[in-house]
Amino acid sequence: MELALHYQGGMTGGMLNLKRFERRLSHRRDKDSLFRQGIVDSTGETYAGKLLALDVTEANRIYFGSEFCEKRIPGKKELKEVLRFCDNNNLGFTLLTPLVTNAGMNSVRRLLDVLAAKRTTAEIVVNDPGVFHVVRRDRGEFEIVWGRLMSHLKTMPRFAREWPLNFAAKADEERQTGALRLNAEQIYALRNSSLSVGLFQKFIRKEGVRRLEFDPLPQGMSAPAKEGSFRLSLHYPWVYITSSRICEMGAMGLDRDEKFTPGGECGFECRRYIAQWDLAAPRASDRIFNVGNTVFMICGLSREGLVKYAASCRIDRVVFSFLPPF
Amino acid sequence: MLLSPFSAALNSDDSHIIIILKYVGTDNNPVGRMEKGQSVMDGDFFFTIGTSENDTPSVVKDLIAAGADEFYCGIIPPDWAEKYGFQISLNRREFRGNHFLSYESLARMVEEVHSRDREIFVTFNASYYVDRMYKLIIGCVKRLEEMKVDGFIVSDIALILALRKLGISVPLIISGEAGVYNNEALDFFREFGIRRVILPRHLTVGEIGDIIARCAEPKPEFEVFLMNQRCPYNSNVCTPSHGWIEGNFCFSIYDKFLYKRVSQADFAEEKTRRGFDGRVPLKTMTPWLDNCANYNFFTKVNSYTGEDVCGVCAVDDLIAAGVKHFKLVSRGYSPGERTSLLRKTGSVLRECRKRRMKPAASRERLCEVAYRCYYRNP
Repeated sequence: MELALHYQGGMTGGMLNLKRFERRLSHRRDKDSLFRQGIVDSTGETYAGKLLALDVTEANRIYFGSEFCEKRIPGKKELKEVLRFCDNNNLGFTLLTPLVTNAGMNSVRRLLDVLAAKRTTAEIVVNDPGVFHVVRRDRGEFEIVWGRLMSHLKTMPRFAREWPLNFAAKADEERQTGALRLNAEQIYALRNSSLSVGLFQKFIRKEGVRRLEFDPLPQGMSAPAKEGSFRLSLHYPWVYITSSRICEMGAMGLDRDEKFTPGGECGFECRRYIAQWDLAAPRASDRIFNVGNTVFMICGLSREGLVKYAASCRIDRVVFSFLPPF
Repeated sequence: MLLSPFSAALNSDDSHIIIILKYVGTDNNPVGRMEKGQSVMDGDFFFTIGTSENDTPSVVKDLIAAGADEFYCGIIPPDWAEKYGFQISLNRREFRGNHFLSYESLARMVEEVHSRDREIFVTFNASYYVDRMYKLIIGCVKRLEEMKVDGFIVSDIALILALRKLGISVPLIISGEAGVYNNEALDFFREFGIRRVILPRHLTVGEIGDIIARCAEPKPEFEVFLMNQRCPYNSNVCTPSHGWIEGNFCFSIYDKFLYKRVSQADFAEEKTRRGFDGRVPLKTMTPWLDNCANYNFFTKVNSYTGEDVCGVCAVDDLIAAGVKHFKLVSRGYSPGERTSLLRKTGSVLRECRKRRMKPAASRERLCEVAYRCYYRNP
């Protein structure tokens, strides 16, 4: 199992070692605030600590970029710094890209140019059909990673309480009361996506996609392709739910008349704040967070659950972000 | 200042409207657009309205009289309903009342619409379809091809590949759910041979104009959303299901607690043991809570006020940008609601034109709050 870390600036080489990092976290006295930030679970256990159950200790890759907002696409200077960090620490590099308008596409192209000049090998995560189109055409030696926004799997945050692998069992139980009716075909449909379609697999493989990325889902997930055809990544513990060009948090500083317009002005509140959403619904996840224009929930898997989940889906890389990947 | 364009339309002088109708309109064409089949010229546009199972021929006639030019719909055939229910849908609607429920009823509607020289498109715009679904999907698209429906509204790349491999002759319309936010995405979908692109809800008039201007000839048709149901989130990357539970994820009421973020730097070795207090000062909490209240209003405009999101004041700007087709989101609405929607939209459009509204360039605004408008940007 490979471990990749999501880089958001300020990282030191020491943080690449999961054991040391976990030990440091476990010594901290501000557990309550760490819980509110989604860094430790309700028992005080760190998500970094849970990951150790997957026999990964040392990160060998950095994920950097913006996955959700074109305004957060980094500049060339930042990218060069991160590439230096990767070179100094002998790390692989993966560039994250978001959904973009034409303006955002220009920013992505600038980064691709830097990458082409500085690296011979890198991965590029695509979350927009247009970025996919650009990268497949001009990718050179880069590998394309099919991003988690492109897999379109349902996240079902309102049915997340007892997840992940007991969703079917839960459905059976609910069927008795008639509240939730799922049959085997529906469960299959919720655990798979277009990536189960052979024709589609063939198409994206021909276009240079070598890796597919997913979130751990409440309902579980089936490994989407035959062994060996694609490698699979799991983002942990921040599970993507939804995202928008209309940024709720970014409208904080605007007058009512100016709020909630696509691509509207913002003060980059996402760099400073995180909001926890409390949805009073019995089956819903109680760990839903909003940062900037995107909503996440925290994966509530136990150590054993995480091991089982990764094995059942043939995951060979975990992308760990101990802070919201934003 | 008027509260909404609907208020403007409803409060406007009826005799004035009649004068305008005499000048530019006819009984079947109350907003004065060009008839189908005539040459395309500036000001030519089409309203696309939803239809479903219970619509009778007289409903179609009424909708056309109210201004409908094109129809769109979804179908959940009995074999699909039996296997997947409505929650896992063939399109982006997860409720029974939004669909045609049999091939026979849809065939009657196609015949009725065609007899009135209009077109009808069928949505297959679910976020994805899994491999086991394809037997049913292929059976369905072949039946619809025989019916001579005028287009399939699609978003899933895998489905598009399958339709092309099958040699299905029905023209493809790229759904707003496909997420064409830039020209490269448009070029990607154009490789499959498409008739039309529905641009997503979260683009500004300027961005739409830029996409159309940069699009190489021959350009496909462009459609945009005009009325109702502006999703708070980008629908192409929105993952919660609308099925199984009352109300959508985005419409739910949440208590939202704001904290200061810690940064990765806070965890760097030299700062390891520093405690962190995420509390936010009152001067920040006040605008945050105000923002939350406004956001609740934004996501639930329809249920609070009975009025929904509108973009009519931007129609002329959008036409100038190259848009010809305007979707009035309305699947599952009653015939009366849809007729009223079309008539109101036509009335508001006349009102806007009367006032020569150019919202992007003028300080005069019909609507008080930007987020009730599809296309107004500060």
